[in-house]
Amino acid sequence: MLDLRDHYDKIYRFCFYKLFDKDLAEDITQETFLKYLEHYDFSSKTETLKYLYTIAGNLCIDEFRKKKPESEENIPELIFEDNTVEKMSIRNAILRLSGDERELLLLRYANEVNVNVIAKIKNISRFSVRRKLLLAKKHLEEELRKEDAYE
Amino acid sequence: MNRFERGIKESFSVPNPIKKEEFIKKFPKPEMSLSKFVISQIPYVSKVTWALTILMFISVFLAPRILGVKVTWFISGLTPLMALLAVSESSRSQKYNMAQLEASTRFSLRSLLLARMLLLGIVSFVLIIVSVPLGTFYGSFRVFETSLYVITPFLLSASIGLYIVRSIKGNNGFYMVSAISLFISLIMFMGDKYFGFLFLSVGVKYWLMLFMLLLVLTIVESKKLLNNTEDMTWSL
Repeated sequence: MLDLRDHYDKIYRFCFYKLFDKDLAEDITQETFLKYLEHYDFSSKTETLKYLYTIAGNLCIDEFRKKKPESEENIPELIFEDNTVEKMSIRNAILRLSGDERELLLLRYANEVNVNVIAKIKNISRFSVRRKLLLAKKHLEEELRKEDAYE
Repeated sequence: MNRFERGIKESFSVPNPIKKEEFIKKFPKPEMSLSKFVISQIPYVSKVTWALTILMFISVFLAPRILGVKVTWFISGLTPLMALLAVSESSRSQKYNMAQLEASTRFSLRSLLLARMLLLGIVSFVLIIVSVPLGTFYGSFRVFETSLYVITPFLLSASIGLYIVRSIKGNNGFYMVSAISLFISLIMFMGDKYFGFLFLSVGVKYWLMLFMLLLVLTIVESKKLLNNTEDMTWSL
């Protein structure tokens, strides 16, 4: 069964890190659930997640086309309420990754989506998901090292 | 998840959503079809009940080879036990004083009870459907008589059982239902030896009347049990 409260937060996070606009991300989150309700039932968890993330992703793409979202470099600091030094440096490094790698890390580690489900959402093999995740983590580590060297 | 991965997780923080609670309140609850709802209850029926049900099916298939012509008595002695399982499963919430807690969950206790009764009713129906042809083929009675001798004890056990679990709460009710069902089973098991007069062809019309009466009683008692669940007040 769908845990709406939990999934709301996860889809909202997913949309936010695509659009960097909290109001827009929340609107799209709600639209995602309403669209999902129109077309699918809530029987299988894997299918539910796949459709929710696919709908949210498509809606975010539509928004991209409508208007250019805020530049990633100009994300207002005040929106993050827990700015510890460690989190800030990881977040900054994450924001320098490609959109695809950022999305994978968000899905796997922040939203704790199973590799099988990610494979279905991205329409790639599980092996490919694992390989891309390893690569994303490697790039993130490199970005963090660069940041340390800069400081 | 190692420290680095935890760090990634915590770094994906977001501003608190503002309209979340309002949306969740208004979000229409997804509807589930009756069949899906009933199937969703399969894991919640006790494993012992399923194990005993499987055992009953196996014994129904094995009985004709072992008992030959006496298979009818065996099958008609088995159906009250199936009724006992169905009734005890339907009254499990009341037996463990969990009814009121379950009543406050997502699905109403009434709909859960109905789904479980329906589920076990279907299983019992399948058992009867399988038993009657086997009983007729290997036994000494015709289809009509075999059906009456197989279904009537089931209905007798079910109607009395439902009445008792509705009237007597807790373990006492369960023990009483078990005793009565076992007694009916015993009578049917020993039908050919000691109660042969009950199965004379002249008595078929009385069996038919009893069958009709018990069918009505079982339906009435099932409805009352469901209504009773709906009207339940805090009484722990």
